[in-house]
Amino acid sequence: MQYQLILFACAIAVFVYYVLTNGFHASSIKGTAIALAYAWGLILAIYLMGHGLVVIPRRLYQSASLSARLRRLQTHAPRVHDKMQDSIDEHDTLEVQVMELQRRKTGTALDFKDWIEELTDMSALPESRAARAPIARVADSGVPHVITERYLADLTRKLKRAQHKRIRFLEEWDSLVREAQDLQTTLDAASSKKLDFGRSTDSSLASKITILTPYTRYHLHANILPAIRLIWSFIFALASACIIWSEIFKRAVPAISVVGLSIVHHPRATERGKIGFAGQLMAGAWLCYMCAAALISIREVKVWGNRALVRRHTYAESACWYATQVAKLTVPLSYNFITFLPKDIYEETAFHRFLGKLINFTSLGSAFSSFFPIFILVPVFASAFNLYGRIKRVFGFGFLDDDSDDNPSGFATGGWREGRALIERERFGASALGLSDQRPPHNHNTAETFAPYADSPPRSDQASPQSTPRRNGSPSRPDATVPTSSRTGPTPSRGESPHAAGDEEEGDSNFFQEFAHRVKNTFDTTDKPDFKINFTKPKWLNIGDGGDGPSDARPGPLDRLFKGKGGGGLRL
Amino acid sequence: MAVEAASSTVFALSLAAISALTLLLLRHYLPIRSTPAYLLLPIFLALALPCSIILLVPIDLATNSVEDEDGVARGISLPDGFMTAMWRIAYWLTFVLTWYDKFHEFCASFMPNDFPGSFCPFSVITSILVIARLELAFSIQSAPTCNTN
Repeated sequence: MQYQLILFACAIAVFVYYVLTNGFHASSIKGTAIALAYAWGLILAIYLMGHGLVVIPRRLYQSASLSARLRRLQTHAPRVHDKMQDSIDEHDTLEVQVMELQRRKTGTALDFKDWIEELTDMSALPESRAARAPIARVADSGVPHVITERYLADLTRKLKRAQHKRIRFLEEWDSLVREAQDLQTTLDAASSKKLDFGRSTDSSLASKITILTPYTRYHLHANILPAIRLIWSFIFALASACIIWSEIFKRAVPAISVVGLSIVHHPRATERGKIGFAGQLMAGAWLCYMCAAALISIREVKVWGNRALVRRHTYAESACWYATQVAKLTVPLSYNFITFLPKDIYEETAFHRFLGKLINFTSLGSAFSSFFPIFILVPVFASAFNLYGRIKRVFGFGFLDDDSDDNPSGFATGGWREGRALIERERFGASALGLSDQRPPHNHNTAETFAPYADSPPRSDQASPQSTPRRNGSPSRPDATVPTSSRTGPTPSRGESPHAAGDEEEGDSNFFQEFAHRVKNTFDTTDKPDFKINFTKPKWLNIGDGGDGPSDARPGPLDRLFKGKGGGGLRL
Repeated sequence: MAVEAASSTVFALSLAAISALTLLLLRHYLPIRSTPAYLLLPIFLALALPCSIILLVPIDLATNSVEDEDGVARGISLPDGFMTAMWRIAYWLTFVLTWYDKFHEFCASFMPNDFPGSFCPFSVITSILVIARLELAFSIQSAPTCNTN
């Protein structure tokens, strides 16, 4: 609140200063406000668009290769998994506080009884989860002795945000796992040339109509779609180059502005318009591409990382924020776009008469509008040459989450191998719980469990109670960020305990087969540790060497330590 | 005359399509039933108005790219006065909506809890509608003179 008040006070102070120095003229105040808003919007728009113009073709080009896409997903998996874990833990911590508040029956808790009941309903803590919460966490839950309105307000806000954050990262993780599964299935189908994703449990009419055979589906996903992506990446790369070219040369040599040339199809017409329907379509397409480039960058800037768009569960504040960014960027980009055309055309438009005259009222405004867009080269080069990644490595923090080739080897982030192991564990964990369609179960109680797939009503055959050990076993879930040399050892065994509850219903043999396969898989994907232990025997171990059996021609040091024969005892 | 009627029809259909697509987008990302109206309406406008601007720019270019005063525009074109009115409404509503999230945060920082029916967002909605009404009235009033701010 203090921040908002300070901001408001500064705005009032600037306004008063302006009125005192220039007098109160409504039109000049309006003009100044419009020019300032345009300038701020243009700075933001040019920077974000410059980044987006490189990102869109590059992403499409990289996603044309299925194996590269899978590798990227596996590289991101550890980070997403960590975030998911953190969000679950944060949510659980807050729920413990709510539980503790609910248990309190004396003192200030009584004054806010209704509010606490609302919080309890919001968190929708079932009895089973309440019983499973560790007692130790309740003791240090952080609930103060005296409960104030401010504390409850903070708790309410934090709980809502934690719920949305949890749903957001659960969805992100699930969509990552699903996409990785689909890609893996497609790659595995290369030999058989028959592709079936196995998502056929829907009972709706659409799923009963099979448009594609497994053979055509394989070719569609393995060959046709990657080719389309590749073609579009080249088209968008060309479009980006044309826009950047036009931004640089629109003022100096307007005749070579490519965007302008592609729109004005009848430059010498006098009795009829110079721009026809085809030119209008081109203009619309260019403008859409420019806006899309700017908006795609918004989702990548880390400064705004707390805000995210989640399917069906976007936080209202995030949705509001994204919508205002769309509104903020469109007007400056649109005006910037019409300046690509020849001056005698764009100066006749109603848009220029309404807005452009005010922007170009001062020479500073006119020069800013004409020359500032050349600044687009900065984000374009920064993005093209991955300067954000280098800045991150030098300064230790980054402000743009450009994940194209940031840390391609996965050094110090767990790497793609760990990501693959996590995804495999998720796959086999889901199948061990009897979820045949490998999608998370679906529940109306959205505050309690993750339920973004709300297109169809929940099905009674889905085992939603089985999901709770999977999702809510957070106190016992293994920490994904374990050191490289030891990560694969404890991880499978600890990962088994949350799934044990669902095993009995599945049948022991199937579970053990899956478990063995999973463990084997995990060990197969392990890197051998880099450190080398020199197992040469020291001289003092050579005493009593002849006592060993004939099969142990060269007993290892561990054998000698634990066999306890001759001189092989452990010396302390 | 026929061209003007066709252009107006295409423009109206395009606006309807933009509204429908925006609603679908909102439905995809937001729980529509549980989101209050004082958030849904500004978010809808903040998405639909920029789309209408993307529609307006090519129409504006085609309408005003005729060199002769008696010339006929190609493609989809609308009367100049109508274009000016649309630009005024679209621009000023977008301008207000640009600051809506800041205003929302400002109001939220004064309220201890989320506020159904609070006067702050309600006043924003009212001001949006008042601005739209004033701009429309002003544009209609200045239509004979045209071409002015």
